[in-house]
Amino acid sequence: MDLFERLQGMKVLLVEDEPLIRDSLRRFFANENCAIMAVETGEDALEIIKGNDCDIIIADYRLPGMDGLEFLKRAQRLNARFKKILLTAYMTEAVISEAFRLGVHEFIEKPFSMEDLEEALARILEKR
Amino acid sequence: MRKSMLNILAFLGGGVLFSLLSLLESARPGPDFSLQTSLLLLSGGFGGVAVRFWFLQRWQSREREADLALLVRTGRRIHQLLAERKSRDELLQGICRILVDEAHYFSAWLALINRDGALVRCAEVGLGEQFFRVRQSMEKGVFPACAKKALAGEGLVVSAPANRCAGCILAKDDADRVCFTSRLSHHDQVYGLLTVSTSGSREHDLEEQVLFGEIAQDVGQALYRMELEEQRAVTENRFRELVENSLAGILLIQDNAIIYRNPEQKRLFGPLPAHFRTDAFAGVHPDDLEKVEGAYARVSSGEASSVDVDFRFYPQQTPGATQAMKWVFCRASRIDYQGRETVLVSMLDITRNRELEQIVRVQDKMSSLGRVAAGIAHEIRNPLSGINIYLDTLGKIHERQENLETVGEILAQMKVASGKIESVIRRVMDFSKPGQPRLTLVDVNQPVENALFLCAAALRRDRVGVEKDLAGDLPRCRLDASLIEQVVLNLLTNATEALRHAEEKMISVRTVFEKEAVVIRVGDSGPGIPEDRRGKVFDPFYTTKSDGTGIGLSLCQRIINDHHGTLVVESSVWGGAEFVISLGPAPERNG
Repeated sequence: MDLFERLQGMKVLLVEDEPLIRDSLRRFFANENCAIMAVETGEDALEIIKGNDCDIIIADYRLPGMDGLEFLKRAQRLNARFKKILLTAYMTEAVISEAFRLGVHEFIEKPFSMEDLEEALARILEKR
Repeated sequence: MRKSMLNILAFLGGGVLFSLLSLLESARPGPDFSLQTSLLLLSGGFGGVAVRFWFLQRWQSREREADLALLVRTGRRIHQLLAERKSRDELLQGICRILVDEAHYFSAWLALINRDGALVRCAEVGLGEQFFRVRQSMEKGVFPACAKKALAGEGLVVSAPANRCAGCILAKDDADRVCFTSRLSHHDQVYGLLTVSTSGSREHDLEEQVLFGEIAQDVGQALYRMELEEQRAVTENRFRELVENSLAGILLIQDNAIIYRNPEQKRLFGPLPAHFRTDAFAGVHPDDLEKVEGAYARVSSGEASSVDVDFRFYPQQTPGATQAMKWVFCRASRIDYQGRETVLVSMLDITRNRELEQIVRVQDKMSSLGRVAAGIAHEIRNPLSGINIYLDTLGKIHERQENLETVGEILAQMKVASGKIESVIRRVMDFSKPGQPRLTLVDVNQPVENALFLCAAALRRDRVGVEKDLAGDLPRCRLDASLIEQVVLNLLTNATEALRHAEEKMISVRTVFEKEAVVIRVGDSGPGIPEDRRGKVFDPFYTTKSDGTGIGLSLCQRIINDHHGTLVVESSVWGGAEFVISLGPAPERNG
């Protein structure tokens, strides 16, 4: 079964401050007849999680206000069920080890393309 | 003995002659030898003696006159010799030679002593072998008695045959000679002694002795002058050596012409053509020409007694050789040289220092860049990711030929993304570009905005709030935008680091026109800098950071000083530090 057909029934949340990434991903998913929710900050994302169950959260590490890991930590307290993908532009040892402790399922290093994201999503779905 | 014999003969002659004459007169020859006859004989004898004395006196006074005239001429000859500036040995030998050859002295010798009284050099004429012994003992510090007396300051010492010392220099067969010894001195300074021997008849000739004393005085004065000249030559030599071996290039300018250059100056500037005009400033870097002309005009017109200026120049080229640009620090002062107004220029080659400074500047830029590298990576990788995803989307659209109406929007978005990347790269390149300050008319807000842009990501990451208040109507300044950007970025990263442990993380960036200056203020809400450390923070290598080099702020101040501005630290509204840059606006042209 095609990856995006399986994703059609899932709720994907993107937390990313770069408008170009939010816009490009939204367009790609739309083109695949999928919908993703995209927000700019961790604070906005927490509001959404409070009211909705999410299946997959793709979060950028560097965010205005709380950073991606802080957001994931808080989000986990609200809803432990979702899969986590972390985007980073500048990976450091400290970030990686912190992410492992939080149980982040996939890392994607920027710059990335859809191939990287599709592979990560595919691995997550297989593990389910 | 001889004298008394002559007197007796004159007495007898006179007596006989007178009595014979009286007898012839009276015409009374006879053997009677009366009292009258005896009286006649006696008076005749005395008369004969008187006549002898009269003749003798006359003859002697003629001889003395000739002698004194000779001595005066000798004095003149010695004067001439002293004026000829010969070497000391030649001079001393010459004096002795004149005294013996041209005056009536049998011998003459001269000894010079140093301040400790030891023999330095001596000369003689007319003594030959006899002098050798005396010279040897004088070298051991034993002077003849007459010499000792003269050196002790007894004036002219006359040693007659009767009171000659045991070891007299004169041989026994010269026993009837008399010696005159005089000290050679000037103003209490004793240089040595002069001794002559002459006929014993001059033992009591005062005028002769006075003239000899005057000759000795002249010689003493000449020795004093020689000593002065030697001292002056030594001093001059010392100064010349100092100047010739100086690490600084030194040149003297009189009436706009170079009259002296020391070796270092020649090395620095290379050969100068004969017609070189100092006011043409050939070879000076065009950017520094105005500065150099102004400084030279100030000092040569007398407006300033001394000016300091640093400038770049290209040394005058020897044909076929390529000379690299040099950088010198130069001080020009007005001095009086040989009674004329002269400009003394001393210059230090600071090319190497400037090169090192340049390297440090570049390194500091690089370390600033390193500190914002994460931010820059983010700035590039984000739009690049966007482009990648848009391309994937376009690929899918092309493959399926669906949703074709969105292609235009996607292409427009991609253009935005690539534009973002381009602008980041340009800013980084501008920032790290090495080179000399290039002053252009710039709105100060532009480099401030650029610096804020470069560290925006880092500020966001560290959750630092920025209060930005840039005045819109600032007069433009002549400055190197990339250098000012470097300074502001440095201040911003410093502020961010100061906020690491702060509760409230705020940075304020303001530009304002106040007190005829364009002012940039970068403040933070960190712990601030105590009053007593405010002067120190600009010192090179002063740092409170464990990983800092202490170069950043000193370099910032250097850059601002190069722009003729000031950089100081004050307190911010939050009680933290506030760095204040003041820059003079460019003079308005055409009103």
